[in-house]
Amino acid sequence: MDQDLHHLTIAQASRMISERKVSPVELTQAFLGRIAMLDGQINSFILVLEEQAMAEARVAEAEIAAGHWKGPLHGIPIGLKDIYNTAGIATTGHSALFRDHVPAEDATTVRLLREAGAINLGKLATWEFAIGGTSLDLPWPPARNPWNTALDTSGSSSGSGAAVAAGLCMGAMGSDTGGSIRGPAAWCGIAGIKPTYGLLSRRGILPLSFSMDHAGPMCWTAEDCAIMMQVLAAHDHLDPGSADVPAPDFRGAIGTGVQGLRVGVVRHFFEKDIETDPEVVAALEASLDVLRGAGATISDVTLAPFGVYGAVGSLISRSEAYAVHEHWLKTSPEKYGAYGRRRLMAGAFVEAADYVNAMRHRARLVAELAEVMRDVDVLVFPTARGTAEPLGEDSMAGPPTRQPFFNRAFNVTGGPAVSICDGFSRAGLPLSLQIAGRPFEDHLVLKVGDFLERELGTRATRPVLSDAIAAAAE
Amino acid sequence: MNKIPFAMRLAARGLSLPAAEAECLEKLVRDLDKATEIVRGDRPYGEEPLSAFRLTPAAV
Repeated sequence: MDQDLHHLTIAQASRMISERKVSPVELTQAFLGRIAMLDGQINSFILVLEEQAMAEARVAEAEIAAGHWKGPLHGIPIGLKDIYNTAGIATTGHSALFRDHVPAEDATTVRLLREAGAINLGKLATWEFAIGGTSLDLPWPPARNPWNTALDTSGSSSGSGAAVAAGLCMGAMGSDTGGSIRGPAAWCGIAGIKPTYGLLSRRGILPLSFSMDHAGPMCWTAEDCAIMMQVLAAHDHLDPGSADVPAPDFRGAIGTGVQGLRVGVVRHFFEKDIETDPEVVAALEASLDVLRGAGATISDVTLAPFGVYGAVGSLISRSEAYAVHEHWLKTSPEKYGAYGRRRLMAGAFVEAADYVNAMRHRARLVAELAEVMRDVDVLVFPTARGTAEPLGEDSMAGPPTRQPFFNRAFNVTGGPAVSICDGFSRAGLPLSLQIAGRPFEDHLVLKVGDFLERELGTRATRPVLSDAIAAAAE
Repeated sequence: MNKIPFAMRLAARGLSLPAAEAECLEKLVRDLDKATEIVRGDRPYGEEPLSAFRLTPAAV
């Protein structure tokens, strides 16, 4: 049994837990054992909470034995990107600057997961402060891609992507300011959703850009993301950006089909705006065929060129990030890694009027998108323009037409966007597709993601870490 | 495009970083300078207010 537990989805494991076919203690032991055996190859965890996790698992087991099953996350082992505050446990942002930062309280989302009975296995690697890039000059090494450890995970939720893909936890929390959930989800071949802005609390998460930061789950499947979203989506008066709206029935939407769904394809993103690998485009076309065959209608739509979203997003997020880090950049710049230091310092050069005008432009983009989405229910385009790139290369340093991801548009406009694996390259690396929707229709994008995962059958293929190790050694 | 030497722009902001990184930072800043070209320019006042400062009534 132990051999197979790490291949269960949250949906499968929670069903087995509720039926007493597997216990939280068994499950947690299996994952801790797997972390001990394999994580040295991919560096996804920077802190493993072995004793705490086992204690939580024993409590969960006793509660369930007493008939107090809390729901589908009860007894499920997860991990947290190390920008999520955990009471009494270091929350470092993967930075020497915060090496000794021990918060007094859990982030709101961490509290919600704890209350739902999830087991926290530990804190996961991240790009420094969720911006710094895949760095080799930080106190902990960068996460590596379990499909091939010579490759990058992308980021910034690098450890979250790697750990879920490698079967070292069943779900993980990431954050997404410019694509930091969807990028690593794409390169690591898992599902990850950037929810609607305000749907999940950011209280207690180390901030980067207050108007573009999003918390969100990363899991092997879109259905598992829906399960986590059901627990996480709650109004939080302690987060001024939190939306006071009823949470959708995320899981109830799963499996309800796509008959009549109106799908808009943002074809200019990948045919004109960014040079995209033909394998990525072929997988996308195959996904569209599946949707068409199931009764969805497909049409092309036109948005602003992707570079406009990139420009507006950069001006806003760099300015806001600099505001957060200005004091430390001036007083202790040596405590940052080189990537983090210069990416954060760049925000010092955005003039106030340009920031304000970027916000004005952002509002126009939001209005333009809302108009387009009167005629379609979801938008589809790739997540990444290609497969994972070699670790150690700065994938973000290329020209605008060779940016690796199509993510920024939905940080700027705020609606939900999920990345799923829609196939594999000839080299056996995951390909990715993004489904975006209207604000607060997160359940719809997850439903479409789940439908495609099932129809395409991509969730049956897992990375084999021993193979990845061999590939890296070559 | 900004004509002021980059080293002066950096110093004016009270920032310093290793010399080897300055070129990389300057490239990032050039990219941001290009980005500003997209958001600058005339806008009709009739479009305002597109962005809002929003308050909600205090709970009673």
